[in-house]
Amino acid sequence: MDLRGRVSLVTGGAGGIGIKVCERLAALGSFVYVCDIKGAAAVADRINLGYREPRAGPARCDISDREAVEAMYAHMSREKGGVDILVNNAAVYGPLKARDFPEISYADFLKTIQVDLSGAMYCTLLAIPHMKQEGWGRIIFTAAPMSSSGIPAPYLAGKAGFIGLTKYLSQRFSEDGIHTFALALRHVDTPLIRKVVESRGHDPEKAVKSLHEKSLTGKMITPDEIAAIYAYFISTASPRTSGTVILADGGITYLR
Amino acid sequence: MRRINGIRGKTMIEPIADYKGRNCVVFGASSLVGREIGRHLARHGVNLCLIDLGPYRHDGLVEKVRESGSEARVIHQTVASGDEDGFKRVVGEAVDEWGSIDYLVCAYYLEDEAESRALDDLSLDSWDELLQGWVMNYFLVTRATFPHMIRGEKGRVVFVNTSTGYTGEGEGEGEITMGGSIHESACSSAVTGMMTSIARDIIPRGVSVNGIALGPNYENDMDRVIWATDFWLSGMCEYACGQILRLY
Repeated sequence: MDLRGRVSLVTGGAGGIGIKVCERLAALGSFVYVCDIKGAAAVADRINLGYREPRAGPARCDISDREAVEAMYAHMSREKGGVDILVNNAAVYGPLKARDFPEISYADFLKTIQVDLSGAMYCTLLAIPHMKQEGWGRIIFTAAPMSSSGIPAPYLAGKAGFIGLTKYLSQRFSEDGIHTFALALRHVDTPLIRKVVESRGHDPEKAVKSLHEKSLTGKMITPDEIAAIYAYFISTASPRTSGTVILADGGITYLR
Repeated sequence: MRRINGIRGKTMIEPIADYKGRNCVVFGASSLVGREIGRHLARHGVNLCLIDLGPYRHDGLVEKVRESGSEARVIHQTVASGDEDGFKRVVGEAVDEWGSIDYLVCAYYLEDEAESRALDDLSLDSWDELLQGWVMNYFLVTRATFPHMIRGEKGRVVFVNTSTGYTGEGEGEGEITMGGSIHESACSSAVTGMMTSIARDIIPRGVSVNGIALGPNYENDMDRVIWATDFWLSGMCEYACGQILRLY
């Protein structure tokens, strides 16, 4: 698997899953733009410590801000020509209080879906022209199942929206060499999940243990495992795998 | 007649399409689906609060809905996209007149979208417009209606979207029928995700939320759309939570 010469953009690149994806893509030879609202430079610097030539660069951006995303793409285009591999991974969970319907406010709903869905849409729409021109592109989505109990509406709307996007893009752009893949996740062993359970008044360690046990596999999926799955799909040459959506929830959905 | 134990131990006696005297809000009233559902419900005696977004308003809608000759009361209002207070005001006016709301049907203007949007439209402007017009307004009208439903601990909500949210654009995966757009596919599956979450949040309060996913040729399949609507609005759906009837 060799991604030398490919340019990647990983949104949410300084988060639990994003860091591992950035590291993995850099290790495979890609130059990686670490996109996040904070912490992007630190992640990029840490990755570059392991290589003679820079393998990563920061792309500090609030992806819910359309003009900021356009400016980020203009910058990447000037520096590296364009994005070949896009990992739409950024997400916000929404408000930690008043998050259920109907308590959630319109402003909170809008802000969450702007990051989780519109941000990915902006990044995707701006990536496609370069990918079409190159005849090669990979677009990956960190998604969620369309139906998940206990997940706030705007977060789930955004993450489930990726499923339609993955399917559509695959059908429309496979002939242009652009392949798509989505991994629909429930619980992932990240700092975010600790923050969420803590906000619900649970002891984080006990809650995380319980989430591990809830999975039929006995453990939650880890960011390292997710990064490996993404790398596998990115490197797959066959267009027949494009449009794949995999539910990786340890069997939780079918238990309910 | 069906008699089964409903949620919270209440007995449910309600056959399909026994609508007389019920009150319904229809969002997207001038869309093909909104119009047909409106006419169907009016024919069965449902009082209707028809809501349209400003640019979509069709003149003569109330008369068209009333062509059935029923005695249902029909009001028609226009709200600007994203106007939270506007949705609250319009729904509030219907409640002032009728006392309660039993049903909400959300039917976005999908045929107008299909006509006006090129398949390979990759513009960011049209994405912003569709997300707001479709997904966000479903959220707003549901939020405006829901408080009136929980007062009676009863209500039924139907979200209409399209099969492109599951398949991309064809009837099945991998098929291309030139039916949808990238924006439609994303919004459609977003509507499903939002619906399943809202459904779970509010079913304990007696309100069920379910959906209808229209197929590529739904314009010629309105009988099944009406059938699906009757199913979700009838007492049979009381235990269904965030389910979608896919019409393809």
